[in-house]
Amino acid sequence: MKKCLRTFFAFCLLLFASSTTLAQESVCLTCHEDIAKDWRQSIHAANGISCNNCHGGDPKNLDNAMDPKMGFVGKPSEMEVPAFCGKCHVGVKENYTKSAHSINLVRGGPSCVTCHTAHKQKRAAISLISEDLCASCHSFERAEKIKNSMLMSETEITGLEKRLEALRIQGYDVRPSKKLLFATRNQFHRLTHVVDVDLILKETTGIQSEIERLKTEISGNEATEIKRKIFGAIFIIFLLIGAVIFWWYRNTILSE
Amino acid sequence: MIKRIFNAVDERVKLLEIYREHLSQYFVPAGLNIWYSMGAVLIVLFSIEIITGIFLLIHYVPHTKEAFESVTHISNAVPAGWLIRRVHAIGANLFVLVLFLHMFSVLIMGSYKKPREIHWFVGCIILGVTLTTCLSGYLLPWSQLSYWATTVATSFPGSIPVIGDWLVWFMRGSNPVSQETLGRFFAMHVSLIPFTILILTSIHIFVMRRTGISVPPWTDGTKKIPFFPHFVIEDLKVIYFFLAMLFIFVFFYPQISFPPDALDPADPLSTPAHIKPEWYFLANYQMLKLVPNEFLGIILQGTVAFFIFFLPLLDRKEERRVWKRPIFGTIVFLGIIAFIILTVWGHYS
Repeated sequence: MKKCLRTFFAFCLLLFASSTTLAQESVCLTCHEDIAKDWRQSIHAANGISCNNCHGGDPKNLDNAMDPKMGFVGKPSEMEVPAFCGKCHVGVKENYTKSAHSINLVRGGPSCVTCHTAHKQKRAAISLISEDLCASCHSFERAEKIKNSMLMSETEITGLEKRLEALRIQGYDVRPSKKLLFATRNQFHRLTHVVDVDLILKETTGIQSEIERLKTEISGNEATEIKRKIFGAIFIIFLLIGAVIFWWYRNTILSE
Repeated sequence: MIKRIFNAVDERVKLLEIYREHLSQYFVPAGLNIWYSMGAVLIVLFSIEIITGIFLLIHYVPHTKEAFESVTHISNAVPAGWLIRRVHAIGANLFVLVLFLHMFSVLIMGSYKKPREIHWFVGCIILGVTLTTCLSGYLLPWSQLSYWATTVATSFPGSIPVIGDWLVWFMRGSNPVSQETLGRFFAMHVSLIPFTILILTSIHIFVMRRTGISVPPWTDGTKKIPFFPHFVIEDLKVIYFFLAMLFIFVFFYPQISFPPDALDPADPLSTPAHIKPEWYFLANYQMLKLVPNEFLGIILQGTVAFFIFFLPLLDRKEERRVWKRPIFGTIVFLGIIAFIILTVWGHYS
């Protein structure tokens, strides 16, 4: 499992590094401005994932931009979408394949873009499970159960992200914790795609123990930061008192 | 026992004579205010930079593959490493600020005039060397901010005709900012520059002792006070105040020296948005952005620096009171306003 996650992160990092500059240079945007508008608002754009990273082709040359020899695959059919997105989102695809959504794909069941849209994907959040979206195909009851079972952990993960960022700004090395939280969050979000309440409840217990471990670590660093600030405040007060004493003493000896 | 040792030493090297000659029997004008203590604050801050720098040297690794990790190690694993690093970085900023204040007071009080021209020349060189120290130190953590700010700063001389490219290569040691740049910046930062500042400061203090402290222009200078304890206590008051300022930032606002880009390792493939130089270079940075030709911008800045450096030779009148020198006062006032506006503009641009 860990090996699988490591491979996934390494692949994502590699993809990110290679595409950061390309995202700005893609020639696709010259013709597909309507799609570009959506893409610019997406999590993909924010992370430098450009057109060619999903659709292939040459993003630097307009003539070869849609050349199959350059790996261009164009727009996937509805049936091809899970494999298309699953090139990067391996774990999500694995879980989705087990779900009722996937089984019913041939009968018009939902694929990735049904919920996440094709080009305007937002960062995955629990708010995506909503009555508006789910009830457009079936009753919300089952989806609501899934949402409620995940809500507490999701809120905690979001809170931990904010606390880690606050510590990072103070100079703490939070990279290991951030990696762990990122992995936990991914593992957690992947679960949603199985659409199985019992499995989610079972797995959430394991995720919760990871969250608790992170909470303890973060709380320890926060306590250290508070101690530093208290020590700092006392030290600064002593320095200011020193300045006042010198000011008073100088005035005294000058008046003598 | 201690008294006997002291007396034995004093009998041979005349310690008390030094004390009397340079402290208790050394008299300075009575009207000296806090502006006259900036030099003492600078000496304390310089000492702090040297001491904290030595501690940082113990763990810092000047190699592109290890520099960022070594700095992260200092901040997170070395006992009090976070404090030493913050004091060093924020102390450097405060040093530049106090140096600006010191030079501003000398300007306003006309203390650069005869017989103190050499003080001014040496002071200007100290400012230049200090800014070079800050620039070289900025690269050492090898963070995103370090890497890209140095790339931007070292690219400006490239616009100078004929020798521009060579100058850039000379500064960087290679085409992009790399291990060669880090190596030479590190060598400059920890050996050449601190010794240069030490020598220049010694010359500055030596000539100051030879000419005496300038009499404040609002007094006739007839009333005198002993340097010790009277003026030393005045110095201590200001030093303690500035140390309190330093530690307020160290403990409560370290972000002032460590913005988010300073917390990520350098990545030559990914340029972060809105890379800005440190606050004391923002005015120069913004000016270069405003002038359409970069070379012209450098010429303009060089001209301003030239006039500031040779000010004692250009302004030879004896009058030191700023209210009796309206043209000079207006130029200084407008210059400072322009510097502040360009700095703020550079920050938000």
